[in-house]
Amino acid sequence: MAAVAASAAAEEPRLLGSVPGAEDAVESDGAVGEEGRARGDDDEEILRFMDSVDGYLVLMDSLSSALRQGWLDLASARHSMGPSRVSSTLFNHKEQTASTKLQVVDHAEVEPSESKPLFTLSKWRLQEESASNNDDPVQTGNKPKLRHRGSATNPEDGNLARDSITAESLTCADTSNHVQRARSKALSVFGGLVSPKLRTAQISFETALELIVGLANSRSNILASSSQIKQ
Amino acid sequence: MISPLLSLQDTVTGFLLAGVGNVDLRKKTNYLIVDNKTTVKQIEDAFKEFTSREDIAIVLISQYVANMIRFLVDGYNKPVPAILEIPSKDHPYDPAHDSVLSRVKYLFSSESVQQTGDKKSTLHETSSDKNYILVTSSFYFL
Repeated sequence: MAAVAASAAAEEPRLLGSVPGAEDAVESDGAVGEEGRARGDDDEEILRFMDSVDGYLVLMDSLSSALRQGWLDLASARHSMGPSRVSSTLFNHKEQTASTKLQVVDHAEVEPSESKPLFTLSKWRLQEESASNNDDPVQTGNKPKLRHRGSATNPEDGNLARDSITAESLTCADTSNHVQRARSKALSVFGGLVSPKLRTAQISFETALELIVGLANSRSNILASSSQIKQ
Repeated sequence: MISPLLSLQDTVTGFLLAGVGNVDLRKKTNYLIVDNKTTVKQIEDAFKEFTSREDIAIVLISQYVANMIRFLVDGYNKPVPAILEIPSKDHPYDPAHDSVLSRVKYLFSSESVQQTGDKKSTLHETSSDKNYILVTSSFYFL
């Protein structure tokens, strides 16, 4: 007991008083904390990088499947329509512009060191058309509105919601009609009556295009992360 | 932006069906069909042209075709236009040859880890050996 009390008394001044080297310890703790934080950031970046690589490989696998399906459908269509009627040489004959395009948002202007472009697919010029439709808000505002009869209470409250639903369904119908027309136009190169397999091949390759855009985004993530890790 | 492609017959036909085909007034196409008669020079020229144009976002190239001009594909490192290697009908995709994944491989190879470790140790000279090993081990784990 006495020995324990003596050792406690010996320890007391050290706990109460300023201990030499304690400040150094605090400083080194701060340095370790900063270093730990930096290492945590590094680890986070590496995890993000590995996620992008994993996403890239998964998308590539899906792309292989979509392309395989497309090639199979194309071969079936060629079998039923004849080899001369299903060929890319048919596209060379007349001038045409690409109806499926890409849009790129690049933040390189803001931060040139961290260029990470974002690719978005604009299928069958849908975005262009919707943009051109939304360009004239004044015109849409000035359009004559339908007048509703027979409602005693405020008719506009109930009708506004109904109008918006109707407008949405009309827009959806317009979009699907537009897509159908664009698809038919692309198919018309191969003749008026085409094999249904050619239509399914078209959809498979459209899926492949969507996957390719995903791959391009993964690629830009990989490149941005790898350059950060190198730094 | 349009996306050109350098590929074999069926792949080109399929993507043209999906609406990426572009033929201008001079009958110049945004795709190159590679067959037995196509020379490496032609592929090189098309690749250089597509990668230097500003209206192009993604260049699709069959991995089989990319292997013919591997030195050009591996040397390209701009973010836009992005080069993507896709599988072809007779040649399945091989991750070992992909230019994007070869960069990943290089980043985690023993040489680059050593270089990164050296860089870290020079940056944080006060850090102990233990920290240095931890930094490198985080690469090794992956």
